Amino acid sequence: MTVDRNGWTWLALVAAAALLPLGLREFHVHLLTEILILGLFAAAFNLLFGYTGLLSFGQAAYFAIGAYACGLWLKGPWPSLPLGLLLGAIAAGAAALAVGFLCVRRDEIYFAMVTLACGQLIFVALWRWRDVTGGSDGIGGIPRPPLDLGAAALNLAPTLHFYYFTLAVAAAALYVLWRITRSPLGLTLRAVRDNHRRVDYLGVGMARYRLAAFGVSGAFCGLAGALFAPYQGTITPALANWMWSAEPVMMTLLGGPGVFAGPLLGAALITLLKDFVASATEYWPLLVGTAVVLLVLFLPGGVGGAVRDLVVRWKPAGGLAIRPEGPAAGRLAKARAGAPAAAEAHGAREEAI
Amino acid sequence: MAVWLKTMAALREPGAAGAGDEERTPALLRLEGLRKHFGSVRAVDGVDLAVRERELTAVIGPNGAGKTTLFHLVTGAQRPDGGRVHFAGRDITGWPPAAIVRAGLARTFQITSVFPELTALENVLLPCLARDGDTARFWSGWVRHRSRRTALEILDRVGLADQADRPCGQLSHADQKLVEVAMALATGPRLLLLDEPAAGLAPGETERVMGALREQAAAGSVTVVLIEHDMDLVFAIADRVVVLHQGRILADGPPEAIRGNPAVKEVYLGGTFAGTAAGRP
Amino acid sequence: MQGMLGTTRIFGAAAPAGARLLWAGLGLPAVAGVGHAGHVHHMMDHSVVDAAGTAGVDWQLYATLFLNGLSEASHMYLVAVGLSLIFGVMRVLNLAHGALHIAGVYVAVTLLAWWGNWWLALLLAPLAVAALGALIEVGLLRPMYGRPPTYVLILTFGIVLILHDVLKIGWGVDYKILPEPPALAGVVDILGVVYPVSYLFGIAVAAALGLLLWLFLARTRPGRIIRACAEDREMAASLGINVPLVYTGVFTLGAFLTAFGGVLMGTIMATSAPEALDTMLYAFAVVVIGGLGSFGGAALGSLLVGQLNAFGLLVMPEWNMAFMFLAMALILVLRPRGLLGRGGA
Repeated sequence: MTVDRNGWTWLALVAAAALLPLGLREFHVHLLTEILILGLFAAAFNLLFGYTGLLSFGQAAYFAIGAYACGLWLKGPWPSLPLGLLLGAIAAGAAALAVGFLCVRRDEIYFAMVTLACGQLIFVALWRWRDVTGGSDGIGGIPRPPLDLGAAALNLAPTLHFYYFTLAVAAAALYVLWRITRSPLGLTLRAVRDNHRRVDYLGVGMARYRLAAFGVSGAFCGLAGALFAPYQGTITPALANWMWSAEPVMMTLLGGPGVFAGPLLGAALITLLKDFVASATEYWPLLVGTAVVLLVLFLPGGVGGAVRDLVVRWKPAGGLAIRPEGPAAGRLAKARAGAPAAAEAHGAREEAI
Repeated sequence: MAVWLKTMAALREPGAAGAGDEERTPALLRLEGLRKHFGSVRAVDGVDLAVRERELTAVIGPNGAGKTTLFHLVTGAQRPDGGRVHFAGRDITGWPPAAIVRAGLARTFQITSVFPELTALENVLLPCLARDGDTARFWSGWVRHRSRRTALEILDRVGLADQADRPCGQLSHADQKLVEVAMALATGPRLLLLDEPAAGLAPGETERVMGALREQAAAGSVTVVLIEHDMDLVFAIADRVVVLHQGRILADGPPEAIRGNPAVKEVYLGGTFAGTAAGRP
Repeated sequence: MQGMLGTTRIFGAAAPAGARLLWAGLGLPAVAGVGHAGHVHHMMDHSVVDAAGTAGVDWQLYATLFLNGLSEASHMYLVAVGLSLIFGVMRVLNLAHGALHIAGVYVAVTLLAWWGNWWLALLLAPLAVAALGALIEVGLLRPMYGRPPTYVLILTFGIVLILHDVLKIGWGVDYKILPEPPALAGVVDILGVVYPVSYLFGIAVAAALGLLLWLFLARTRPGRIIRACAEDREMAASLGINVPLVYTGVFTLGAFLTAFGGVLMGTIMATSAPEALDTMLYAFAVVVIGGLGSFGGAALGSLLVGQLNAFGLLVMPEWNMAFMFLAMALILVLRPRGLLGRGGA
């Protein structure tokens, strides 16, 4: 597997993220960890929204399921963080498949309604099922068991150590998501987004792919939640509530759903903003709501979209990395060389999505 | 006009079905007593039809005659209330659309239906991937995928290779129709149903579309059934014309026979079959 | 989507059915019978179940539960019919509908504190909320015409968040209940079943409003205009109908209805701002079961959900909402467009 230009970009970003904490106070490293977790949450949401065209108002439910699954596991007799994460992802993914089964064939309106309703149902279940979930008090005292690396065990209690652990997991997960968006599956999902009826008439079962996207998105939301449990130490049913479902929506909207890095960017901005206006976070829903309304009305492409449009305007022709082969491709190459305007118009598209 | 005649000559290979071949060539598509009603409206009311391989059939009829509904029933968009659909020897009645496409029956739509945010290449690439069974691959980048080459060639055959990287939504209407034809061809069909391929196109553009079909036909053989209102086109290219009226077949035969059929003339007001250039009922 | 609120087909077939069902549901005589006097507690009070005790008073319990179900149905109906109306005409799923419902309660609380007249509050609070609805539609929704429906959904979601906090800031998070007026206080003995007047009033008013609404949409000229817009917006515009105005009117009407239901409900049950979205859950269940955009569906759906919730208390007191969700899931799988809905879901 050759490491192409994009691979190097990933490595550079991860390296930068690894170097970031040096020189920062512990509190800021704690914040960075949260950005990674919520960024993963938002990116998983965007797989569904930006790439598959499905708007779900209930993704927080899968985040919460992941958090509770992992949290309960870590407080059990055999606490193992990797296993807890795996359990969280699987439990959330299974729940997502169950909900998805009910709504993937429906249109956008019904889909949003059902995901919202099911999300709230899961919230109520977490809230009422005191024996297992601790009810409205939630689960506290979730440990960070040392990571068994074979030769030694890494103590994850210190903030910095847990940051690196989260970075490793989140980066890997985001990379997988990214690969999916660039794969044939990603193309299929985008086609489903653009014209879900047409897809059936090309031999591709639309509902099946929507369900797959929903399941994958749910699983990654669950993974984010599973990371959140040991990060925060305490989890409550509020993690499944509709207001928490609004977070990835807003982050994605702010960062831009049309760019893979958009949700991550939005997560960073929102988390930093939240910290900055800590005194006003009592009315956080008001701010979120206003921000959402303003974004939808005036900047639906988000910050990422605005940046990408700027980049496209400045980028030179021939931005695609396809090697031409054969007469048709020869014509394509000639056309590209001779018509810079046409190619330039979406030269950045390939990289962007 | 010349282009159309050449197109249809190519779609029709030597030794293709002529008037007396009914018994020898088996039907590729056979409809038996198809019925579909919406409430009290009987959109399709007992249609029996057999389409032979490499025979270009045009389905015409006034608005509301049930032509598009017929296509819907054949392609799985709707379940018939009665009757059966046989394709290539198999009973495909009630099959989901995706399965029917995989069996070799593709269609285009009256209102051009493409993927606007995907590039023209990506539009054609999807059915290529589907044909290879690769749509679920989630790790390898599609950019270097072998299907890409096939998609590019098909796009080239409809003359759109230079538009490959443009989002389909930005292409002209005619180009989008061509992309849609390319998409349908990319599924590798034995039978292609075209719903008003000339709708909304200027005459020059129509020639491009038909020319593209001709090129594709030269490579393999695709049987075409089309719904059309453009009578000039229909009478120029069809081997066989089927007239639908109120959900039933009113007339069925070679173009000349249909042209002279008084019942058909009555159904269309204004006598558009006199060969006038107007052509649109 | 075909067969939405405005088509004559819906009105031809479902409206009589819907109206019939509404009246059938109100056929109290069919259920009420001879029995001993019971004691009716608050709708959600489990002691109703406990008081059932041994056999002999069973059917009386059932009658009470049935009436509870009707009462709940009446509140949900007023929310759901507005939601369905707005969707049927404007193709917008107003997620903020539940927030407007709760807003009705709170505005009424304030009006009651100022003027002490419940009836005045009943009339004015919904009007105030309707005005708010008009502002929302003109200011926020109108610019969104032609934008993808997912973005409109996100917008209404943002509006819920804003309203939720505005209510919290303005009125706090504690539970509030509207004191009922003297005219509606006390209980009434219907053939042996003792039931509060205020509940019955709510049922009757909701039914009356439903009937009025149906008559309005089916028989009056403005109603026909609304149905025309629902059926085909472009056509209506080309006929000279001021479609944006109709949309504003419909949204305002929907807001009025849901706030009215809020005042009625707020008199019977204590509510708090955080429940703004919970109301939506019930409304969603109602419209999914009954069919989004279907007028009769809103009625049928409310009746079913109301009864499911009421009788669900007998079986699983803590989880009675589960039945509602189960029904919703069942409908989604078996008959996705809803019991009375038409067109693609």
